[in-house]
Amino acid sequence: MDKKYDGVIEMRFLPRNGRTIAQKLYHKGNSRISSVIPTTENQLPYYFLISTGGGFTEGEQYQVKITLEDNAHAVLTTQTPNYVYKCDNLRQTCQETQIKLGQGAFLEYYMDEVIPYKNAYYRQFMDLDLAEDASLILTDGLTSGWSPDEKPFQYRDVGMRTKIKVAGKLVYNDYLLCTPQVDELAELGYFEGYTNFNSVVLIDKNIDQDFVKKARAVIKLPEADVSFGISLLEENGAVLRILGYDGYTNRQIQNQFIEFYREEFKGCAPLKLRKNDRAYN
Amino acid sequence: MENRPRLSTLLDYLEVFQICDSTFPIGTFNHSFGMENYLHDRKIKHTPEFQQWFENYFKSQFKYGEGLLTVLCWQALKAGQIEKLWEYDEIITHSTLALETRNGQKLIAKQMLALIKQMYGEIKPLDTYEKKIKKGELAGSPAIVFTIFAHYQKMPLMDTFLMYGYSIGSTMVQNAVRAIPLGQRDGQVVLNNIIKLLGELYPEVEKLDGSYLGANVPGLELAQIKHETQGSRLFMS
Repeated sequence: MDKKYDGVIEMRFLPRNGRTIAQKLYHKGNSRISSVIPTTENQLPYYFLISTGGGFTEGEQYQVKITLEDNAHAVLTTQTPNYVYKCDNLRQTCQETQIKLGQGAFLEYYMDEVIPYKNAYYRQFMDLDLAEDASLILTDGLTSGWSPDEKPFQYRDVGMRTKIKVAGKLVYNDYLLCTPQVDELAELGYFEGYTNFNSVVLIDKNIDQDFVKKARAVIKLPEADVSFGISLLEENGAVLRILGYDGYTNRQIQNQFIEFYREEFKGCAPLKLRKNDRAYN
Repeated sequence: MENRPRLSTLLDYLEVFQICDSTFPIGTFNHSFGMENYLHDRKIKHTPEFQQWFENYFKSQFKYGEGLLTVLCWQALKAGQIEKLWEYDEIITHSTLALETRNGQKLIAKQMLALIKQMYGEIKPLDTYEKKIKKGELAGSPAIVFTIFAHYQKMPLMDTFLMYGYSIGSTMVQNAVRAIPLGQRDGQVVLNNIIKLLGELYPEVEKLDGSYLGANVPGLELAQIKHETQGSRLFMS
């Protein structure tokens, strides 16, 4: 390892006797992995990824490596939102994630939103490499952050880049870049007065415009003011984007979209993640 | 370039500038790139909101998208690394998450290629690009087509960036005049501000590397996605 990380997680899953087992669960430094959490779906491995400090402090570097061998299926979530603390000395906090999915593998990775504190300076790089018929549900998000005076967008600079390749070919390059010290993030084009941005990307070679139409019809409009839309990717997937005022409302929309994909499209049993919604609003 | 007669240099500029004209018939009048969704949602009503949206479009989606593309492609052409252009096409296409925006870019690129070909015959890199698009290997991006042509016309890097930025500015202002209660005079004032903004953006974009290509912000992207399901519409994106 040529780079010193403050926290490392490595996980490897493989199928055995008709179910998926964790072959490797390695953690180092400030990163932890929960013990396996029971799910409603029989024997589906489900783990929390945990940051022991409750968040990332200035200049810290984190690494996550996840591998699913052919036909493995696993569910991973972050335990809490990803708090990125102040970077008063302009040293960047960074998390790198590498994910590899084999043929027929299915990873559900529910990352909570990033909540940057005042003056936070953060980069998140995710590189995903999928075999041709692997599938993926990936969520993430970014909020207006936290500051002692409770004013939104007091962070310095946050960039979150997710690159997904299927069979070696780029299918998704998402780079959310927010620089509130330069741009007025409350204005049109940026957060537009909203405080919570959430994103879901689905990668599945069977997703087409018909799926997008059906998914749009399934989502029930919440009463809260929220703005969202679904679009078909150039190939192999679809994306849902949400701008709202709270994580709870955004997650309701997000979950309906995910449930439609999992249950109607993939034929999975319903999955109730045992997370306390109120804890990370 | 110092040795070339001034007249011929200026004619080269005029030929590039012709493509920047908002009336150049390549279908740009069909696309609002999400702007129409703000009209629909009553978030853009008059000039001030349009100007805010438009400046923010330039500071984010244009800066890291088409603006950066002109810089990267020009540099690759100068270095003789044509295959880098095809890589940039892949990156920008897959960074554009809204289906209609992607399709709009493809259509404009295709028509720009066809009209340049009609006027100038075969220009090697453009011809290769067109073939790759026809084969379905690449999607096609107007900024890449423009930069290949501008480089062929011996335009320096800064001039290429500024002219392409101006063409996006003037075209979108014309589209806004048609759709918003925005007078031609107000439209020109907005465009004038965009020209000044391009001057601020260039030194920043020039310093960026390819890793930033396709970076975006949530609102612009979401409006482009939401345009797909919008009821009444004047534009295709």
